[in-house]
Amino acid sequence: MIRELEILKLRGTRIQYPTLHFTLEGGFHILSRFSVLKPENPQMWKPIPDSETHFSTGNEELDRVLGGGFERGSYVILEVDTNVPPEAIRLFELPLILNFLSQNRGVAILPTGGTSSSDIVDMIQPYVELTIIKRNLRIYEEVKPTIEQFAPYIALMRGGATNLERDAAAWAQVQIDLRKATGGQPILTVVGYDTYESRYAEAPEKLFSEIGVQITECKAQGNLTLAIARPGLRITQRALNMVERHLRLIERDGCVFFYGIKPRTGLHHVSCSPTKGWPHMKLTPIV
Amino acid sequence: MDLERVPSGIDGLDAVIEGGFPRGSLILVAGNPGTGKTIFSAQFLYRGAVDHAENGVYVTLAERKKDFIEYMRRFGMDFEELEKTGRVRVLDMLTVKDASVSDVLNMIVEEALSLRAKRLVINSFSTLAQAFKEKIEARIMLHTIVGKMVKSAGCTTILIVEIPYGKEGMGLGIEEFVADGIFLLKRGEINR
Repeated sequence: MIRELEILKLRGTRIQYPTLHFTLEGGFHILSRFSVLKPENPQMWKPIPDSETHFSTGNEELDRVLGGGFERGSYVILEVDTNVPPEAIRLFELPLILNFLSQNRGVAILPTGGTSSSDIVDMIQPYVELTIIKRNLRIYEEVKPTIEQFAPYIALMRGGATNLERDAAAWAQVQIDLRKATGGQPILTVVGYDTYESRYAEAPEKLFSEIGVQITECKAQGNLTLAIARPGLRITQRALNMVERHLRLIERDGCVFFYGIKPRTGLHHVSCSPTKGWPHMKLTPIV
Repeated sequence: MDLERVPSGIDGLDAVIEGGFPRGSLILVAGNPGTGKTIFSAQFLYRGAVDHAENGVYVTLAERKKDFIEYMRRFGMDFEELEKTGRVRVLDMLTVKDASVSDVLNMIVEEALSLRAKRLVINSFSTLAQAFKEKIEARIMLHTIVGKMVKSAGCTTILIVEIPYGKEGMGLGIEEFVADGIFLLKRGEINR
């Protein structure tokens, strides 16, 4: 359910945003348009412990909404609607990444389009030690002919646009190395489906098959994968048929909302609060 | 010249409407059942009394006073306490029998004037309007409220308009033209 207030007229008043959204949780509250508030004094991340059966999402409210977090071995697809700002997606993925890194676990990231490895490191660095980033974080990046890529957190993709097998072998090696470096801890993988689809557009069947392998491996190893699916991707629907966890971020009139399809959850308004010392996702139920 | 504003009492709304409703305005709050009209209007009155020491009258024609007070308590609004302090009166017009619409209207105006109310809510105009035989009576009623309460007494007034499911448009087709502000509340579903 979504609630909307439309201001049809108000004498002597300039209305910039005539359509607003609201909730009746604890009274009548207009929901804020999405904006990012950065903490003035960033604090080191304080890990939220996992349960025996679930990984914490890095956000206690989200853990509660999802019934304890993400089950170990889950492959989660976060489907993102048109117009959802990238910062809203980061609000979802950043705590998860920080919670893994700060517990000496490995994190492997295939960035979504338009995001570079340095963007990701800039996002993470204020909240965890650089030594942890160097040891436990790997970001897949395509080899560029003119740029040397020596940063310890970069894992180069050498397969080329049509050689998925070679890239897949490199990813598997990264996972093995991260496991070794962290003493056999579970690994978080964050994947941008738009990067998959644009890179391997000529071999869609091989890509579906590789996603199937990844889902099986993730479950077998007790890892966690978060796949971010932007709108209009062909692979999303087929991948959705293979997974047990499907979440959505949508945008309406400048507001961002979150809900789960698998597991089914209520609709929640998403806002950003910097008071904890990092960008914290605040969830307000729509009732 | 800038209009004097009355804070709406709704979190996040005043920032969008230049600080609140224009003082001494007639505001329609319309919507289907269950869209939050009662909470919106009750919060306007409650926060006005608690935060700004503005007296108010809440007229309930759609539900019993006891039920209204109980319901609002769930949202942290204690109208019983406010009535004891004399800041607010909740008028239960549901139980008034054998009174004509103009009698009811006179009672409301008298109560509001005697309390020096700066905020008035009538829940709902639609219920009152059902008693009218002719459209002209509704027009007379609206002009009475606007003339005696809104303009002379500077009492910012919310009229609640019920929109039945499946009906387009607001009500009698008069109130939209008389009102200074119209707020339409909706409830929809997300495609899953």
